[in-house]
This record gives sequence, structure tokens and C-alpha cells, in this order.
Amino acid sequence: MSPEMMSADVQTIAQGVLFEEARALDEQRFHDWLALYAEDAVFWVPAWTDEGRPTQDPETELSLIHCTRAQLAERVGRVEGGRSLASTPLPRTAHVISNVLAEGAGDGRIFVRSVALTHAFNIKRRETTLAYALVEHDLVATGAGWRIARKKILLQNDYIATMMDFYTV
Amino acid sequence: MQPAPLRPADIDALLDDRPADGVFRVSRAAVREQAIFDLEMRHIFEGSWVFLGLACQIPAPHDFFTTRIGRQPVVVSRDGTGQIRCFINSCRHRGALVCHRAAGNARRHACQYHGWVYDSAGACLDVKDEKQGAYTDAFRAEDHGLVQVRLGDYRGFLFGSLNPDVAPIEAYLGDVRALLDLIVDQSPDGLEVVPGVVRYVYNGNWKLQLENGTDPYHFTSTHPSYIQILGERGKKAASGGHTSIYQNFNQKSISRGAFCFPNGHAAIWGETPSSDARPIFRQIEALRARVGEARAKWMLYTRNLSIFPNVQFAENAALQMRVWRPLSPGSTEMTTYCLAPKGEDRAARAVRIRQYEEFFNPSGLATPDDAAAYEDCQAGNVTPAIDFHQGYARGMAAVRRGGDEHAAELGLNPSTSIVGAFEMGDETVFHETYRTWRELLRKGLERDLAGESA
Ligand code: FES
Ligand SMILES: [Fe+2]
Repeated sequence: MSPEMMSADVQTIAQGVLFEEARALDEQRFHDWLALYAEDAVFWVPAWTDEGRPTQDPETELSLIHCTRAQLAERVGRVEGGRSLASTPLPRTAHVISNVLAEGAGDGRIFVRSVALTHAFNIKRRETTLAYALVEHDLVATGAGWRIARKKILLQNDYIATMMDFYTV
Repeated sequence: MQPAPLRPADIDALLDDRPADGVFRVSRAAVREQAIFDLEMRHIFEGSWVFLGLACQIPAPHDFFTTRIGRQPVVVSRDGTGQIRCFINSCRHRGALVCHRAAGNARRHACQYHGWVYDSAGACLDVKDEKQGAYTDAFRAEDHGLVQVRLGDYRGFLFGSLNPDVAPIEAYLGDVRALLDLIVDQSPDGLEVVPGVVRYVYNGNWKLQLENGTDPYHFTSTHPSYIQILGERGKKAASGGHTSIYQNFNQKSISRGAFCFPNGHAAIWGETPSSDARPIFRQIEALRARVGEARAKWMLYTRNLSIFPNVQFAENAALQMRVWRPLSPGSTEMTTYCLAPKGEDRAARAVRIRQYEEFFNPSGLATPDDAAAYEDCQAGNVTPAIDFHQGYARGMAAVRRGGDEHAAELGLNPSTSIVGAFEMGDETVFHETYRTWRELLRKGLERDLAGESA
């Protein structure tokens, strides 16, 4: 990548990855979704404290989800395996990604902030839930294209309707 | 048309409890009927002790957290002298909430409607513009402080009751105290709450959670996806140590037991498949030296404790405190915390937190499937044409009155004990709880009816 990469390019690259991620989740192409993550990627949904701040340090504080890519792969296996009552039938989702702000210095890394609204339709209960979150992505350039090295999802409405998983946020 | 008001005979009919005939059945109406829910609120949640939280959540003067006793918002506050108090979160002027946050530190709680101000002990400091208010002497003679609630504190486990006449908390808890001791005494410095709270609502009755916490029967059928993940991790693990207590999950070698206690409390225990994955195992020699061989062994067991009516302490991979608040017959709010021994080293703490999240969180690999099962139970349980469940019969031919040799190790005197293979999936553990439940509803209804006719 050229060091003089324009910010417009950074914005375009970031939106491309985020929109592809959302599309893969909504089409339940979970293996394509996983492929967007780097081998050592971290997927993190902090919890909030009763004092009203999000948790900061996953080693000493609680998260809603704190997963490596390998653990995300386990989650994919779980929802596809048909042996999880909560995941069968799998809710249908629409991830709406907005307010994308990408920053990159041309060093093969892009930091992206966005807002995600995730609508999930529970087929069995015929009910819809909405999760809204402030999201951060760290993207890295690899030989195979841009990959997600870290995703942090700050769930703004952390009052969970029965359950949540990687595809409902 | 309004359903006919409940009569005592309706309450009696909620259980078919005939020990001599080998029958114990619970009515399917128990999780469904609004009239029963209303009685539960009045006479259990607002008429007996309920769990509030932990003293370690409010370590400093003026620290507080807010919660509910039944439907009533309350504040649990450490006052300026260090004493813990519980008072009704409702202004004496016209009733507005005076404390709006879930937790924090505040010397004063000011009602922003007309400006009355209270201190962290609940005393009224200021009736705004009282001098100019043309009040009568009768008003001035009244206590304007926030209404204090009966508080029970057993080693930092805080309980409250809107009924000032309840028995002392020590008597209410009885021998369950020894099981709370096993939680507190894991560290010489006691317990702490890992920062972060997780709240969720499921569409099911509160008793579905109460039952599930001491229901070993469901584990293999509700959680196969979790068991499978652990199995695959076990195969991949390069070397010795276990990263989950459920590795080596081999049903044959694990025995499980249960105790019922007076006042509706219950506990299950089991040998841990892979004790070395327990964070406290890292300090096991020091632990044995401090608390003794028997109690250290019990600390390593998986133990789930239900304290009637609204809290469970579940300790397997990690230690969860789950508190619930019934919202309606068919919905329940869960508030859940990860607990840990104070002073745990950083690596053990990180292992604890990861295991906690993946097992206990509603965003984890196990709890979502429990909650989905509760919702299915609620959804399937509609018609009064079916009278009783068949779900409380396992273990009845094996249960015994009083304690067994396992209870004796802790000096417990439970109402009933049972021990058996993992697959026994005992259900007698619910019996005393339901007997207590029916007794409280029945007595409460009788009081209501006596009040009406008086
Ligand atoms: S309601 Fe609180 S001051 Fe009026
Ligand atoms: Fe479960």
C-alpha cells in the first residue's frame, strides 16, 4: 500500500470490510464471516458496571463476550450444529452499519468507528429485538486482503432480551 | 369476566403431595396464573426475606446500590457511620424516586421534584422552604425520613423484608449458612464482585429459574452444544492442565447429591470432573491448611445453592450470583454477577472470568439454552385442561429424611438428602421449596381473607 494513501481510500476500504461483514452475518454465511477475521483476532463486547461505565480490562473485569477467533469458530459450530435450543431456528438478522469514520496513516492498519443497529427476528417467538452499539474495528492489511484484527462492540442497550450471540450484535 | 377469586382450597390444590403414595406433583397453574403471581408478590416477595446484594458492593461510607423488594424500589446504603441500611426509594412528600442510579456514592439523596433532601442513612435533612410553608404542628411532629426496611446481614449477604415481623435472618437461613461460608471462606479476605453486571429478561416464570439452578437432569440434553465444544477443546489441548472443569466429563465417575432445607432453600453438589481447572485449585494447599481438608474438598465441588425466593449462587467453573425479579407470571428479570475470592492472582482471575462468561452469560454457550428452555416451558403451558406436571418424581425412591454422610462432613442438618449417580437427575430437591411456597401463599391468602371479612 502506498504511504500517501488518501483518506477517501481508507474510508472506502473500511466500509467495504464492515459492509461485507454485516452482509455475511445477515446471510448466515458464517464461515465467510470468520474468514474476515485475522488468526489472532479478538472479538469483544464489554459489559457495563452498575456505576454506568463500560468495563475496560477484560482480564480483571467482566465482558459480555470476549473471544479469540478460535472461540468464534466454536460459536459458529454451535449455532450451525442444531443442538442449541437458543439457536434453533436461528434468528434472522439485519445489521445496519452507519456513521463510519475511518482513520489510517498508510501503515497497513485502519482504525474504524461505526454505529451498528442489529435487528434480530426470533422466528419461534415471532418477536424482534434491536441491539444498538458503538463499534470499533482494527483492520490490518494482509497478503489476502484486509482482515479484522479486533472488533469491540459497546452495546448501548445492555438489557438483554433472553440471549445474545455474535450474530445479534 | 374476572376469574373467581382464589380460595384456600385452590392453593391446596397447587400441590399433590402424598409421600405415602410416592406422589409429588406440582400444578401447571403455578407458573401461569396472574392471581397466583399476585399472591407471590404480596406474601413471598413482599412478605418474607428477599436477597438484596452483598456488603462488599458498598464498601465505603455513603456507597449505595438500588434494587427492589418485590415491586418496591429500595436503596441499600452504607451511612456515614459505616452502618448498612435499607430504605424505601420513595420520597415522603409525594412518592418520587429519590435515587436514580443502580449504584454509586452519595452523601445526600435529593428529590428533584419539590426538593426534599435525605442523607445516606435515609434521614430527612431538608423540607424545602419549610419555614415559609405554613405547616401545622401535626406535620412538624411527623418523621419525614425515608422509611427504613428490615435488613438482615449474614457475613455480608444482605437480605431485606418489607414485613417487620419476619424471623431473624440467621433463623431464616438456617444451615444454608454453612454453604454461604464455603463461598466467603475461599479467601482469607472474603469475596468481591468482578466489575460488570449483566441483566437480561426471559419470557418465563421466576420459578423456572429457581428450579433450573438445582436441576442436574437437564444438563446433558440442554447443553450438548457446550459439552461438545469442551470435548473438542480437550482433544486439541496439547498438554496436561484443563481449561474447563467439564473436561473429562464422564458421567459414570461423578456422583451428585442434593439437600433440601427448611424455608424453601435447596442445594445440589457434585464432584468436579477436572478440579485442576478451578481457579482456587492454584492455592489448594494453602486453602486446605486454612479451612481444613473437608471444607476445601467441598469448595472444589460444584455447588448450586438456591436461597428462597430470589437468589442463587452457582459455583462450577466460576462463581455466579444470580438475583431475579419477577415482572409478571411470564417474564422475569435476571441480574447476574461474577464473584471471586479477594486477592486472587491475575492469571487465575482471568481464567475465572473467561469460564464465567462462556458458561453463565446470556451471551455465552450455555445460559441461552437454559433461557430458551424456560420460554418453551412457559409457551407450552397454557391450558388448564392438564392439571399436573410429571417433573418432580425423580429420586423419590432414594431420598431420605434428614442428613446423610455427605451432609455430616459439613455438619448440616437438611430436611432431606439424596446422593446417586449423575444420571439420577434428582427432582426431590424441589419438594421442600414447593411446600414452603404453598404454605406462604396459603397463610397469606388466609390473612387476606380474614382482613376482608373483619
Ligand atoms: S415528591 Fe419528593 S419533594 Fe415532592
Ligand atoms: Fe443449564
